[in-house]
Amino acid sequence: MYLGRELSEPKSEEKKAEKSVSRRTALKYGAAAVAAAVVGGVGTYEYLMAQAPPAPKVKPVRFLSTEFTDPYARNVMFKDVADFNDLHPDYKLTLENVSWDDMLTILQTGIESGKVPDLIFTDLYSGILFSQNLLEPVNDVLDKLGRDQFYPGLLVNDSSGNDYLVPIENEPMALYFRKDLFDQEGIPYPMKTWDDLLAAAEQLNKPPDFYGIALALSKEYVTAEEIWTLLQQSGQVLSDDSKTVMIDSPGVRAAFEYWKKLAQYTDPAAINWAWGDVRNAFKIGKAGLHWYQGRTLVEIWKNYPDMIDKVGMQMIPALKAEDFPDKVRPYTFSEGYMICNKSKNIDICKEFITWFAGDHARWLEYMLQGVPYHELPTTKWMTDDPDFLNHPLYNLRPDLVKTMLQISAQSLHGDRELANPSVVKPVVGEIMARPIISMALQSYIYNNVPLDTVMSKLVSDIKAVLVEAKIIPA
Amino acid sequence: MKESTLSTILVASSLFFLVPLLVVPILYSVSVSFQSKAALSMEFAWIGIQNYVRIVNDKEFWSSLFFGAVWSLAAVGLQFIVGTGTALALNEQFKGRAYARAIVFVPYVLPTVVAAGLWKWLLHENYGLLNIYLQTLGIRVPSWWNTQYAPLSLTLVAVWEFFPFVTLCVLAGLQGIPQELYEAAKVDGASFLRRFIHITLPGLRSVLFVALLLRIIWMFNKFDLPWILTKGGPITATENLPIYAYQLTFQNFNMGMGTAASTIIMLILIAMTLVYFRVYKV
Repeated sequence: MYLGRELSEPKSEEKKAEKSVSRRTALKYGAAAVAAAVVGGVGTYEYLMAQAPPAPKVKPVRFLSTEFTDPYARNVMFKDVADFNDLHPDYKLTLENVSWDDMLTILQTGIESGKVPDLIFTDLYSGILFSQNLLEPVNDVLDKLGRDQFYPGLLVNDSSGNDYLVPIENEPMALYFRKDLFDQEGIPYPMKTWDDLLAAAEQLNKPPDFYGIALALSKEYVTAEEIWTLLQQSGQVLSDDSKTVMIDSPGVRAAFEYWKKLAQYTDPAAINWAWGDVRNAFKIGKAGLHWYQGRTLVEIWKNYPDMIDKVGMQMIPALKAEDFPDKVRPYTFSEGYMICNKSKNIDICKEFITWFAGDHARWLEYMLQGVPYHELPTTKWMTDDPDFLNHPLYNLRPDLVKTMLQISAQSLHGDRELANPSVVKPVVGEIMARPIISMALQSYIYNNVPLDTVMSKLVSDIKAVLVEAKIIPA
Repeated sequence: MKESTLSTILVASSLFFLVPLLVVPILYSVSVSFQSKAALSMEFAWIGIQNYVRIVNDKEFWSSLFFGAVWSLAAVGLQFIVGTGTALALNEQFKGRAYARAIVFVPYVLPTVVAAGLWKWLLHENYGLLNIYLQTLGIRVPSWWNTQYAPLSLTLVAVWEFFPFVTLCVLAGLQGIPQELYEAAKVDGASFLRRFIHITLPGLRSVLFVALLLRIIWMFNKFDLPWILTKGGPITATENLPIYAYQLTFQNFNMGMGTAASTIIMLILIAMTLVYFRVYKV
């Protein structure tokens, strides 16, 4: 057997040698063919390129947005961008939709690498962009569009009178409640005061299957925006003109204490909840109250149509009954275009904004494809345009349209410190872009840290931020 | 071509990519850690070791370090128990073994974002299938992601996703243990446990050591899984050092402190690697 294997091996080697010779030959010819193809291909390409007319130099323009999350509005904006590009062959505007979570990371890395976005459409970050001196004034754009058409409360500017935002849509906060349950329990509505709201939440609270109110209590910075409305109504300010931090005030303390009381009637899981979870808890019938913008109604309309008639909506209650509703200043997100001052394409960005917002039909088309009740007009002409309300959902609950427009109108008052975009006061912009308030609320509500300690840490954290941002000296 | 020339060319070509892609960013990051720099700003100011002093005086840093260490050890410990047990089972002959082996590796080959998203929904307090099943059995459970349960839930998800790595290593190691040893032990009347302790474990020692060190380093440095599942919360209940560094940099916009925290993480990992090199004599 051993001998046999020895005898058979040379035969096998011979075969291998034969095979390897033919494989080597094939490889040689193959390599030659590939090389010839490459050389020929390159030559042909270069020949064709030499014959073709020189391609125009197209300048890329980066358009970053967090806002076009709804497919219909996104499609309209993509179409508009494509139309604009067709009209301006020297430029290529590219729309990048990014999530809120990623926006600042993208901006930050863009600035570090020298690839800043040219045009920005967002709501939450303008304060910090302004305080870091990253925004280009857009006074000329507003003048072209007709400055007097915009609601003054949305025109955000600095002390030298420069504007930094072209507001496109306004998204105020409303209080939603289960009208059917209120009727069943005999709870009166609208709730005029904070105490009314607290009493309603307590009465509706039937844990663990049903909770009085759904609150967003996670540590994400946006969740703190629920409490901004309360802070605004209690007449408190976060900073004065000399950039002094004034958060430790009786009004802010009262709002914190109130929030903790209200949190008793929310699901314990709310410690992780952000906006989506709050809306879900309300929609699926696990909470009797919550506050958010118009999107809740749209989601109920699409996914829980049987519930649409059970929903009530009102202005967020005031601290004192006599202030309700006329003196309530609902917190709002005003969203629109901003231009980065480090952009090399400032003029074409301004042209795009003017092209988009200067054509009423185009702007209206975008708004109608957006989210009804949620995205409301920033200009007088659109509010007055009957076509704006031409949406099936508006026809379904005209009473809520009236309420929402009233909430929107009152959110547009200029006497708000916690305006969003909070460009007016860099201090506020810096605070709002960070999870400082939401973290303080969490430690107060869930860790039972005394309010004095919470406030003292809050003041020191905010001061550290402002020093870091070079707004106040060390 | 001389061997030394070839070596120089190969090393130089590696350095050509490594220096700009790895060394430069690390040096840049370390240099920022000695500066005061707000995110979105290009203004730098040298402040020496102030960022490090602030971090060392920050309670959240120590709680993140503590949680990260405990979580890594707990998750890796459980991964080893489950992974080794699974490998021993998969090493036996049974019908459908090839399919079982393939199925066991599914969690590990899933992208973390998918695995985390899956578990986030399975354990969701309102929609989670697990809670729905438990409720049909009359068992009412609190939120899996509250302060009390979130660390446990996170650990179990980490075990589920990463135990197949241990299984894979151990299974490979088991192939190298001669069967004759087991047969001889059986003839001598050794029980399963004695065979495991005296044959299997010594035979797997080097494999287990490498897998253990790698898993501890990877778990300590884990960002994606806890970030997607809990974002380090509730409050700071599941915050490890990578999340702490990320929050400093991208949520508090303090690049100086964020890069200082990252540098500390890097130093800890370098220390762990040195231990690995020293003990394993690589």
